[in-house]
Amino acid sequence: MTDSRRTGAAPRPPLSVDVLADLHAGALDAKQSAALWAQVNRDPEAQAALAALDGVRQDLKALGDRPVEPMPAHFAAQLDAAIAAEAAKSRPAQPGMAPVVDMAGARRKRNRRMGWAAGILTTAAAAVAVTFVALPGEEAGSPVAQDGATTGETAPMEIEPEDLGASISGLQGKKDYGPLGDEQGLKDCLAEHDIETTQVIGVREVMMSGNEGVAALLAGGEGAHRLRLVIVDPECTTVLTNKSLG
Amino acid sequence: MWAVALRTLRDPEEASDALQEAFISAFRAASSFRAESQVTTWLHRIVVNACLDRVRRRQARPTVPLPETGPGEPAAPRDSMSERETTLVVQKALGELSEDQRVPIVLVDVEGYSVAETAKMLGIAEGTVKSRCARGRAKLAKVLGHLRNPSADANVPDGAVVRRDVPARRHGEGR
Repeated sequence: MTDSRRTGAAPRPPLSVDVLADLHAGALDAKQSAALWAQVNRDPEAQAALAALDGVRQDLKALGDRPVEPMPAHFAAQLDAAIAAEAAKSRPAQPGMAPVVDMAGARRKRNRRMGWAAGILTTAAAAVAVTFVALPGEEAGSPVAQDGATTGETAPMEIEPEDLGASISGLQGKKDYGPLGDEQGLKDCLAEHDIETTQVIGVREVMMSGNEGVAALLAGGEGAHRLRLVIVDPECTTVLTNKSLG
Repeated sequence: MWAVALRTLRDPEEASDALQEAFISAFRAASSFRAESQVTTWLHRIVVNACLDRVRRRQARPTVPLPETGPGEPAAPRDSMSERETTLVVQKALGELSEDQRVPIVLVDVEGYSVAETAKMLGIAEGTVKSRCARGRAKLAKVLGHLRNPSADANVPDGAVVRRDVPARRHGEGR
């Protein structure tokens, strides 16, 4: 068969499944294909093999038509956090922070970038669809398994109160509960301040305006926001920040 | 895109990581997008490439056999038992294919992309997509039991399981 395909001649019967599959997939040239179809239409066994290949495609199409469960909530939260962090990083610089030679050109470039970026965020949101749907059997607030998640090995991260969004990437996947001990300690702490802990995306010790604290990035913010950043002091007596992001 | 990543990688955690890499990469490259193709095609291409990168990395690591049933896709609650069984059988059969065959088949036959779109996404010729799909479908026909004599792969199929009437045909689909 291989020889006949190389020479361009139509294979002689009996026809192999591979040749029929090539014919079925439209992988042969027009001349070979025409000659083969003439043979196939006289060959019940070849027709049966083609029907089998049709059956395969039907099975595969049925798999594609089958509704797919939305992305699991903890994966969706990670994805949201990563995109939000990237968006925060790409935010245009504050006025006066960088020299801009051609304001019009820079604005055009920025607008184009932000336009496409907004499109990507929209598409990403569509891709993960119902993001924070609690799946049956999934324990609320279960820790997010993630490569690189660390415990007690990160130095306090500086957080700027005016730019909380920039902290998302530094928090994502971190599991440094500091003086709160563990996830339960964090939950207990937040519960004392009537803050519901949905799902912990990342937690670590931070410094904000010279004050020590523990920052927790949680899934589910207010309104359209998908994330919540809560910062408490090390003794959990005061909530320093409680803000929806993303 | 979640479905594409999941079906390509067959592991929810890896699929999630691949999507994350892809969206970050797309976000960073947004300003260089030239609208030569639809943004969804462009994004799918990035997602598929992120999945393929992971596949290649996985191939470079020592093989860890997938569990019999595999994590695959979670069954949708409204599936009937027989639909679930069929889905599992087809998913498992897809796992029998090489990555070279599985990825184009997932894109063309499962996700419904055209051969041309798939070729663009994978960066290979349309003829290569067709021939890889052909090889993969032939193998699936045997694995799924559509062919009654799956060992006769060299030449004649010893008959096949005909699931419906076969009309006289003249030309292939060549999507």
